[in-house]
Amino acid sequence: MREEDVPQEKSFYQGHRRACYAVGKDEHYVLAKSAGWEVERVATEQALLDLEEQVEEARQLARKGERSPLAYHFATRQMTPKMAAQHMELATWRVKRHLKPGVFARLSADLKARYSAVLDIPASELEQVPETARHVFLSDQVQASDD
Amino acid sequence: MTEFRHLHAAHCESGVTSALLRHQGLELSEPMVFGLGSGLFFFYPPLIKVMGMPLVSFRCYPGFIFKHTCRRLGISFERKTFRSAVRGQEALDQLIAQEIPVGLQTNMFWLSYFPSEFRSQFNGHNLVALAREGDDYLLSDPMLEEPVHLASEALQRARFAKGVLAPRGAIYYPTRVPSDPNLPRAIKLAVKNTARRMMDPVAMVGVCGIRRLSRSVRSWKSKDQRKQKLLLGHIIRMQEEVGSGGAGFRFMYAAFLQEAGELLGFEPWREASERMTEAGDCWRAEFAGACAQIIKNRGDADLDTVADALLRCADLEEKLFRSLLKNAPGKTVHSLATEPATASR
Repeated sequence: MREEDVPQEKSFYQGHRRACYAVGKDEHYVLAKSAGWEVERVATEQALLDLEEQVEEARQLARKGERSPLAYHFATRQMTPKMAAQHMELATWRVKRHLKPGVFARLSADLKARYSAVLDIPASELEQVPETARHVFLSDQVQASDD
Repeated sequence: MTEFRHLHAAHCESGVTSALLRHQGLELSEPMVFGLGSGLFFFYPPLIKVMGMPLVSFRCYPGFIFKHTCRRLGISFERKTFRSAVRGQEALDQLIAQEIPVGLQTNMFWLSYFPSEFRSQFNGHNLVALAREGDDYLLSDPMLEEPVHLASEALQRARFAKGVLAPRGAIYYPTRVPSDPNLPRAIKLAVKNTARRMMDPVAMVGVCGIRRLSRSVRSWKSKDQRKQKLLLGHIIRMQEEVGSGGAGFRFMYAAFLQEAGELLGFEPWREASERMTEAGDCWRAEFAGACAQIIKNRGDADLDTVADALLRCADLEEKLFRSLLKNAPGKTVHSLATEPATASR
């Protein structure tokens, strides 16, 4: 990549510029700054939209009472039950069981406190799920500028 | 103790290593550190999944660059991990109280100074802890233009996150830097090591790994379109997003070869640097470009186009690394034809 070809395109960098290496005028490598690259933005956007979809799916299931609120909180923390189990120091099957609303309702206060610590959620919000859909990872400002 | 100078770099670990060594009086550029630590790699193992996506890595595992740069230059260093988060915090606090800047391995999701678009459960992010100010830490993150503050609770979460490559609170710092390290010797060792690892006949690493990825891409035809697009996007993200300096570290390595060639006055490395740039351009323009076309339903690229682009990248890199193995400084220059197809150990 030549220095003059370093892409300065739309991105999620929010005004920041990223350091990258490119060949300068005298054939020497220089540290150039890139405002963003369309190809990278396409990939990032797709991945973020997929994550948002997972969050929304978990939110709806939790609202309908088919999954426990934990499923929603895991999605917003990009955690799989296995990863959450490692943080909780529990077996994965137990964490998966806690995704059932009935089981979650009977959870001991101690386990609930540990979940709220691991997920960085105030204890009062652990059992709640937002009523309306909202983006967790994509900021609205970025979406508005999208094509 | 001199004041720590923040370094804005392309990659976190080479940036951290370069900044820590500079603080001890050894000035090495980021590409030089990256090359000395044999940072360049390709790894595509079967079965290992991160958040449902296959692991594809363009570099070695976290901690590798620091360790190998130090070893090859004869720098003594300390690296510790902790079972107890409390002990880990105490150890860090003691060190920075003595004004020793400390490298940390962290999970990116809990580093709240990043925009939410970049926060993911990735356990291999490196940064430098400089000081503790009340309940905040002053951190120098090479991804950012300035040092930042972070609440101690968030840093604890980031250091003791679990999952793949769990950092276990890893801290590292150089303890003794020799006044005149043998840089040419270290460079020769490092280049040889990188080339050998890239030419390793094991199917999941190096050039063979790229070819295996190409075969996998072709096999994704049986998956539904949505999954195909997510998988292709995932590889682009691994290549460009994780602070690679462009084209999955290929441009940074080309910069290293150029610098090393000039330092040693070894002409063939200048050509090698140009070839590495060529390979990087292939990764970006041909491979990532075709992936983006598929994701956006533009143009006529399909999975075969992508797989063929990967094979071209693999061919370019194979030629390059074979010539690096053959033509080392201080060795008679051989013709390329005598080497068997796979690299010998």
